[in-house]
Amino acid sequence: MTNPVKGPVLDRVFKSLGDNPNSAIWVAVTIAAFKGIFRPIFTMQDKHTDPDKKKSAAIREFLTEVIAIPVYIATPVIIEKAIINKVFKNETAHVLKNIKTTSKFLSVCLSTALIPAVCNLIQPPIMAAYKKSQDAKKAQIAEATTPNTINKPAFTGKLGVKTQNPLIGKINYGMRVGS
Amino acid sequence: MSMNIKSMMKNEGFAKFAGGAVGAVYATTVLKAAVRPAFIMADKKNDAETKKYTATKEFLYQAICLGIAAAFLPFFNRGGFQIAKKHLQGQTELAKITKFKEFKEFKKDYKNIEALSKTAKEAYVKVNGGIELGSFIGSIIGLTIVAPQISHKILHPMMKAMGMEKKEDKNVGKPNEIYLADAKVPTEKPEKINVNA
Repeated sequence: MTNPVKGPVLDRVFKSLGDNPNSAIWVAVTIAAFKGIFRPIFTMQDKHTDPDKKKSAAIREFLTEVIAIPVYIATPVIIEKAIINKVFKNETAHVLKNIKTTSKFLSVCLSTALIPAVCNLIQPPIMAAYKKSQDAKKAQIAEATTPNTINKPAFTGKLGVKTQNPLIGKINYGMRVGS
Repeated sequence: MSMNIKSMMKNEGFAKFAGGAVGAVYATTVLKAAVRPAFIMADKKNDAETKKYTATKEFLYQAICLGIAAAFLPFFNRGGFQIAKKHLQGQTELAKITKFKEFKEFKKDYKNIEALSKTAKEAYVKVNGGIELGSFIGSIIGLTIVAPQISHKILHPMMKAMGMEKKEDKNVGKPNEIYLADAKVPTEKPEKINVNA
């Protein structure tokens, strides 16, 4: 019995990728999808960065790739419908195939240049909303912990010395059994 | 100018390059190295020093990505060819192709491909698909898994060597450790008092 993964399935993948005019788009989309998964994971694993900054950076990286995917898909479609189909409508089928393949490649390049601009438009309000929710959470935590910390003496640099009454220490010490 | 673009769009050789995944990976990486730092520098909200630091870091990251792509893609393309080359067996028109280099030479001239019979062309497409699959896998592993790890290891030393980054403060993100490190723990024992005295 032949292995379906090594046999027909792989052959079908080869056939589909071997003569695919959309390779440029698919490779860009695939890289963006995997970056969207791995980059935030790697960022969160960084032990040298502040946890709040890490979380914010991971969200921003994830958003960048989420924005990149539709841009990579939509730009070639828009370029083809708006320009290629109008300018090159009288070309032969073979030449038109070449033109469309090249236009997809150039559209992916254009998308790469457009993505930072689109991110600059979409990301700031989302990140601002995230920061606002984080600040609200911090304020809530601070409010909840305030009564416990209000009576705590200020840290003086010597643990357990100035924070307690010297008399209490002496009295307790003397009250120990067997001392 | 428009004629140049039109003739470039129709060009068979450029279409072959544009139709492959390798070309897209290199082109997007080079563009990212140019465009992303430019966008960072154009940002009016941040101060000049921060912009310079971030733009340099982004440029270096993309340069590392380009190097990794250049190292990974030929290796994975060759691997893809090795897996798919079984389809060349029994094809008399493609019998002279046994090595990856020979396949690349054959692929360069589109007239060679046009001249193939239907079955030979199918075999050619499958082998080409194997190489494309190699490009996909190589670029995913290289650009999304290896590049972040390598850049994490070498980007900071590079930035430091360029004088753009100060020595790392090991206590960043560890407020409790700073607190304890700075604290002087009392070593003297409390004074003994005689309660019977």
